[in-house]
Amino acid sequence: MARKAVAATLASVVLLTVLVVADATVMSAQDNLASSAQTSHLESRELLLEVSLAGGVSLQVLAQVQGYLSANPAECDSLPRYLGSISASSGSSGEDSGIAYTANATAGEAPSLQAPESDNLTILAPFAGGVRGALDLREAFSVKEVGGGGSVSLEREETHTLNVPIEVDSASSLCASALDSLGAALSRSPCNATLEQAAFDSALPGLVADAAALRFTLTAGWGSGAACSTTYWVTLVEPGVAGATGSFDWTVRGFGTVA
Amino acid sequence: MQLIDIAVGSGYAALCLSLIVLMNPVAPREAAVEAGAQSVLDSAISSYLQHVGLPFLATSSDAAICASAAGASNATLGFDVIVQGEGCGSVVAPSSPLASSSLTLDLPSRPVVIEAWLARR
Repeated sequence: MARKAVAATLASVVLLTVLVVADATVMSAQDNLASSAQTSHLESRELLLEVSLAGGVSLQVLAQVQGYLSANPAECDSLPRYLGSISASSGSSGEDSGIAYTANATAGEAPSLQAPESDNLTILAPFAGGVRGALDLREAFSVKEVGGGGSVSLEREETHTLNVPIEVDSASSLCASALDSLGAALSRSPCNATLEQAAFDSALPGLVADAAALRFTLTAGWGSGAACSTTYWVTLVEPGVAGATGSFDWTVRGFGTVA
Repeated sequence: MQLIDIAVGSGYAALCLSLIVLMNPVAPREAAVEAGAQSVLDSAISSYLQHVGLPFLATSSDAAICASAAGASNATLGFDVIVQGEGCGSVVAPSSPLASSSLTLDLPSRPVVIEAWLARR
């Protein structure tokens, strides 16, 4: 009887020990699985954050450029300088799902393109990439993310090309041709306001039509100055430019004088 | 002597059973399943963002945005887009989803929050 009791006790001890070891093994495996899944989740979250931050700060940059363009008319004779002076920057920092992040973007005019240029910031389509004839921007973007107590981090520096769909080339050529035409018309009859007005009225409809064909509205005027000089001006407006953060008007002005 | 044997045996059994209860593998397994589901949701939010684009979320009407969220949802995956604190009334998240995730976008004109969840089958 005593032997049977000892045997039963030993069997129970062995059985329980095996159960504990098996449980610990399964527990350890599940712990590793949970840890891997958690790391994988942090990585996927960091990638999602990176995409949304790149798009978000770039959109802020585009909004700043749009604001500048709509508030500041360009001058025909200094269009390259006007576009070259454009710069915008934006940043974002904070914490999301235990991931601390910082993102910054700075943009300025891109070198003129010979062909359309694609960009992998597709979340900003159709404003990602370069478009010939439009205002193209070159953006330097950097992002740093740290999650999981420093165990999972992501750091990137990228260069993107963005576009604001104003018709720079069209505005430049329209402005130059309109000023040339008005200058030529007004110079035919100096010091004769009646003939000058007739020449101006004759030239204007064609210029308005040319501008309308390129989706611009054109207004122009003229006035007599001292010593028979004549001053004339042209205003071109590209209305309802469909920008990344809404539509806006872009204005280009030009002046000329006939001595 | 017999009493001591019984006490030691019972004590060991109690210890082992306690360890088995403490080392419950169900908790980490559930954590792994939840983390996996969160990754699926993050991937789904990323796909939705790539599909509609940020300019759309920054400029479109509430109705258009809600239509896009409804279009991206299916039987198990749900989306809601909250624009300036207003969500899509037609989309109702389940009271006890398998997992849920959200992403806040600081867009120039308005804050937008994308919420996604996986419903239990």
